[in-house]
Amino acid sequence: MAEGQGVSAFPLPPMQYVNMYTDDNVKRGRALPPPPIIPDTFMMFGANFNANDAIIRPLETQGFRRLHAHNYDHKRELKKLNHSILVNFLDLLEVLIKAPESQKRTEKIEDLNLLLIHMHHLINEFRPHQARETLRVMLEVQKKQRLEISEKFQKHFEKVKELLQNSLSSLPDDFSLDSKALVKSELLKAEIKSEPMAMDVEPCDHLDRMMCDIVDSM
Amino acid sequence: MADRLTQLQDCVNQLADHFCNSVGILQQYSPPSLFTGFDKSGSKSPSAPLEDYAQTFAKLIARTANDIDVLIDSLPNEESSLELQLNSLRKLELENQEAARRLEDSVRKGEILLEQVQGALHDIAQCQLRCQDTNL
Repeated sequence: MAEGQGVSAFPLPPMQYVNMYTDDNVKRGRALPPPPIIPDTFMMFGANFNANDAIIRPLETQGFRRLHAHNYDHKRELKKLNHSILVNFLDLLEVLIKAPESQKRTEKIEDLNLLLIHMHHLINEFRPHQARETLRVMLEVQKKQRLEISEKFQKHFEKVKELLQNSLSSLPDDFSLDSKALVKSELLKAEIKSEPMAMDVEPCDHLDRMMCDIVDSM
Repeated sequence: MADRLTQLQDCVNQLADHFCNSVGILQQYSPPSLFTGFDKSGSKSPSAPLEDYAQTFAKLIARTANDIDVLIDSLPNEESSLELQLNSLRKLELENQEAARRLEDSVRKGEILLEQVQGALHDIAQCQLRCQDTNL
């Protein structure tokens, strides 16, 4: 774990490339655009890659001889392969005992190779199924989580409403000040209505009387 | 522990490893065999190896092959096939969207209530401030 300054297991980052992506450059739009999407085939480490391949399940008839029928039961074929591999190994041991340098040895090794490759191919054919299962289980978990969250939220909501209603119902007990103020203004209004005749004689008096009442009550 | 398919792949590779190792070790540590009819038996008696490699390897190989069989048995059948999976995926997607809608609804209700409560608190606070002003 030598992570010291001068001793690093990995090559340095490409600084000439990285330095072109400074904040200023990006703001001005002068940074390089991202590289274009790679077309269909490209080379990687000397091997050809085709982006359009059904990469998940290429047919075995591309490279090797096929040993099983076209509509097969994966589990049975896998078991048959497993036993064939063991039998072939025993045959190989026999060949090695009896005639080590003969050609049969290479043939047996090739057979064993083919059988193992078949085994791995059949196992890989299960992978898409596994991916879909994983997706299904993830969706189920998500759905369960969402339903749980909405239920808990609903419960909290109900509690909050209850709390508010309780506090509202416990409010009007403390209404004394307001009621007095209301009564005062209502009394004043009643006084104004009951004295329309006196308005002609003393037009400003009732307003003055109101002012005097308010000042008296303070 | 890795998933079943990876375990199966590892077991198959392990089986191949055992084959190679067994052949190599047995070839390396085997006592020399005598020629038939050639009576020159040297004074060296074949020293019996402390561990019986052949038996150990045989046991290992048999055990690994058995493990592979058990793992193959535990794989799902062909009946849970492609259409079934796709159907259940579609159904689950719809149900998930429904659950998301319900969650959004309750969150929106909660937000409305929150706004109302905040408005009420705002009014109360302003009234209090006004009362304080008139009292002072």
